[in-house]
Amino acid sequence: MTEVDVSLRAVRKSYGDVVAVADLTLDIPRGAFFSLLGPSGCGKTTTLRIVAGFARPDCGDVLIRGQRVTEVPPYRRDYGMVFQNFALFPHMSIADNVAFGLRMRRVDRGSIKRQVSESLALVKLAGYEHRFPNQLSGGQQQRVALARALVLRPAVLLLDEPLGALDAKLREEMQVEIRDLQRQFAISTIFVTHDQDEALTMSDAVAVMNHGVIEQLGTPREVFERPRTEFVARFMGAGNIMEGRVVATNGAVQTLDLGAGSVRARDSGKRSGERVLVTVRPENVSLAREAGDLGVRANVVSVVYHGATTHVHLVAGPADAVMPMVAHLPNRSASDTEWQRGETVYCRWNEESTIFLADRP
Amino acid sequence: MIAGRLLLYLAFGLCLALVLGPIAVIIGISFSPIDGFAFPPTGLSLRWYASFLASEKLLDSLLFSFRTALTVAVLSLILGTLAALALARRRGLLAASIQSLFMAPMVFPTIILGLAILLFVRVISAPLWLGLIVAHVLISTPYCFRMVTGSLQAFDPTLEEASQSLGAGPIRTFAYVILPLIWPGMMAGALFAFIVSFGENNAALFLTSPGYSTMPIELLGFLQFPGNQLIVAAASTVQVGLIVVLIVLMERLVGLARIVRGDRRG
Amino acid sequence: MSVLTDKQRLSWRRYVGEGAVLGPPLVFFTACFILPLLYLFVVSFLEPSQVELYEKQLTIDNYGRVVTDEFYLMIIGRTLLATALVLVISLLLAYPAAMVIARFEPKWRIRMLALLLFPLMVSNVVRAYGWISILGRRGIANTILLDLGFIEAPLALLYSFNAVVLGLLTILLPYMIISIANALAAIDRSYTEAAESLGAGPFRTFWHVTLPLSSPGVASGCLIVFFLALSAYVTISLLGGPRFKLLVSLVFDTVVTLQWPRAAALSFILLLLALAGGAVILALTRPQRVRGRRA
Repeated sequence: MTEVDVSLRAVRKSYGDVVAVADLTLDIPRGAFFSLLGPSGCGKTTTLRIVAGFARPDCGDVLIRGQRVTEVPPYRRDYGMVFQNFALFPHMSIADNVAFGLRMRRVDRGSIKRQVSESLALVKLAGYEHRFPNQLSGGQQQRVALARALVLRPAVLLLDEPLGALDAKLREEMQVEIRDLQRQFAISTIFVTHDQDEALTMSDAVAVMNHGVIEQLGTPREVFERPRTEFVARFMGAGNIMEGRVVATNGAVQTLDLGAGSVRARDSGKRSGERVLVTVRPENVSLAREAGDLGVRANVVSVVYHGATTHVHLVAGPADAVMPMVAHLPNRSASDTEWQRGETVYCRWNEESTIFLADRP
Repeated sequence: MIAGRLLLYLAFGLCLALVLGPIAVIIGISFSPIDGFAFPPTGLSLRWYASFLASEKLLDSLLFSFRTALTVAVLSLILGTLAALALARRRGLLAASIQSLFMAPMVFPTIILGLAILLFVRVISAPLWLGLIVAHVLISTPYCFRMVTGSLQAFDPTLEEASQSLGAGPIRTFAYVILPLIWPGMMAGALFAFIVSFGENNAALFLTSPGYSTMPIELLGFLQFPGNQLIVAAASTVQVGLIVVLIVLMERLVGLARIVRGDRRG
Repeated sequence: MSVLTDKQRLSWRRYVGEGAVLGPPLVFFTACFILPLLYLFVVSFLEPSQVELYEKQLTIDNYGRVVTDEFYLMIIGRTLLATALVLVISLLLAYPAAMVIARFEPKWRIRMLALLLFPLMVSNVVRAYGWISILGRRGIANTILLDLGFIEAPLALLYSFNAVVLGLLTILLPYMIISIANALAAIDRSYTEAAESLGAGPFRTFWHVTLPLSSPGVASGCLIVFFLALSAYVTISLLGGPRFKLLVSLVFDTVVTLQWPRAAALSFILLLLALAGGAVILALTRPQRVRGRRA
């Protein structure tokens, strides 16, 4: 069994009537980069704050390296944290900021000096010791915050949307840098974000949260390609949610009737006649003007050019049960078909692309 | 349009003249060589400053005012800072009412405050000077409260969390993170308290006694009799000079912007 | 939002016992502010005494005397007239001055406000003395007018209703200017630009947009000026002279003559007047129109 650095056991936290975290159980294996992904208010930040000790769970337990820390105050827990706005102490020099944690642990002066310069060198800020936070750029402040957290060699690194305050280009650079540092230290990391790209590119594992519950936990690939619930599918940008029923099973392939047309899917184990909820990623959808045995009949609502792709927005289904759909078509050459608003088209995709979702509650 | 703008500037100029004029006049005539005012001025002299320095009564009152103001500044700073720490991030009706209580002496008629405390001092047979200090602490605490509250609201609460996440407990977080950041606000508040106590003259009317009299009250005595009044001009100029020095100090500590907002009463 | 409540919960409560922080100031204000005022209130309902502070006998006579005596009523009327005059003139002067200041660049605006704040820190005795040396019999105004031959004998400029109003006005004017200038400076330029883009000229923009948006500053300025004008004893006595009285002078006189219950009653009449005036000011300026915005 792999070692676990952080675990939450049936943790629950509510504010008044609002349940922020509902009976969450979670294990973060040593060295993993673990993302908590979800929209604002989903409970991801509260979960992080519970690990940090800034929020006390109503019930349940928090363990860091196997030790129960539920009642331990933040300053006696073994973690380093990078805050959304970095929270560098404005009245202290960069060196003093990085040294703060070491001082609190009463490390001797010589050793502090050495460790501070080592960790500043690590984040490529050697020579900045005597500057002050307001003299640094956003990216540099971010690195100081990382150095300040990592210099303590904590059991776990907590990152609270640390890239939110940076502009897009810098953000991408910092993604790489944070991931490199994390691998170098082999430090278990919990990363809170609402940006699915960030979560997908950086993480070993992603937990998608909604209403205080983890809807799906898996590798970035699993979460992206095989969403299990409607929420995860939508959050991951697969907006084509369709209801239908199984009409035939032929070996490993099933045929589904979606009302506006039929599609094929891999056998889901559902029996003929059973209701199903499915989705397909927009980039897997192709359009055709000719009707066929398969394909969902839809009308083009708008065509938006996005450079590498063109997004075609469609509606399918009868007037009383309209299904909005979207297809991302690659722009390969000038001879690509031009789709017109209002025209009727047929959406098709291969059977592997049909993803079964958990039924709506 | 032009006429309208002219009118605005006329009102502005008139305001400045009305507000600053009397003080400028005092400074001007404090250098008068004669007992009174002559037009055109006949020369400059420091004789009134000399008689100010020779007046034991005025010097004693200056010293007493200074000691009182210093005591008041320290006590107001302590009370105002505690109040600000307790209330700066509180919301709700109770917190708002307690806050109003701490701010109330800013607009409360000081003469009535002085009377109430005089009566109280009589009843519990406390010395009058203690009453004066209590009254001045009440009047000055709102300034400290407001300045420190401003400092507390200006700093990011995640800094406290950052400090805790790095292993600093509550006491060390206060000492190393909170205190250094609110220190300028505290000092500016204390200077405000000093200035307010130093110039206060309505509550002090009831709460001074021979030997325990503040300078404004002594000056008031001088003004009740004709002649030698220019000694008041000299003493006033000294007071004005002191205030200018203190304002410059506050400017260094927290910047003018905070001071200007800090005094908005009401 | 959940994050915020959490931070609040954590900030101080867990640190130092909240009571230990709030306790000292709260105890001090209760013992030295609320309690003496309550005591004063009780005294205002007790019989006066020749030897003691008061007789232990309840009466409403202290108030009754004041509201039936014509002298007191005249003084109250004069007090209200003087303060109302101070209020109106200071508003008329301060608003345009504040408009000028609000248009300055921030750096200069703050310097100008600091310049106006500075006189507020100077003792009222000193500031009243400034007017005495200007308006007195041998003051600057009389000396210049005599020397230039405009007048034969010194004018009696001091010790009058006008001198008191002028003195109060100049002492309190900075409060009004600072309040209004801060409120005006806080008004987002886009509001007036929006009004102008919708076809309102400068006057209608001012009347429908700027003036209402500045009402919190006007209200707080008026409240301060009114409260302080009511209680500025030293200014009133120095510029009004020994015979010119306003309500607050009577409070002082009754204290000096040791009529404690009467002084107490007069104090609470003064406070009542302040509260009533404050209510009128709030009803007229209606600052709640711009609630939710910082002004």
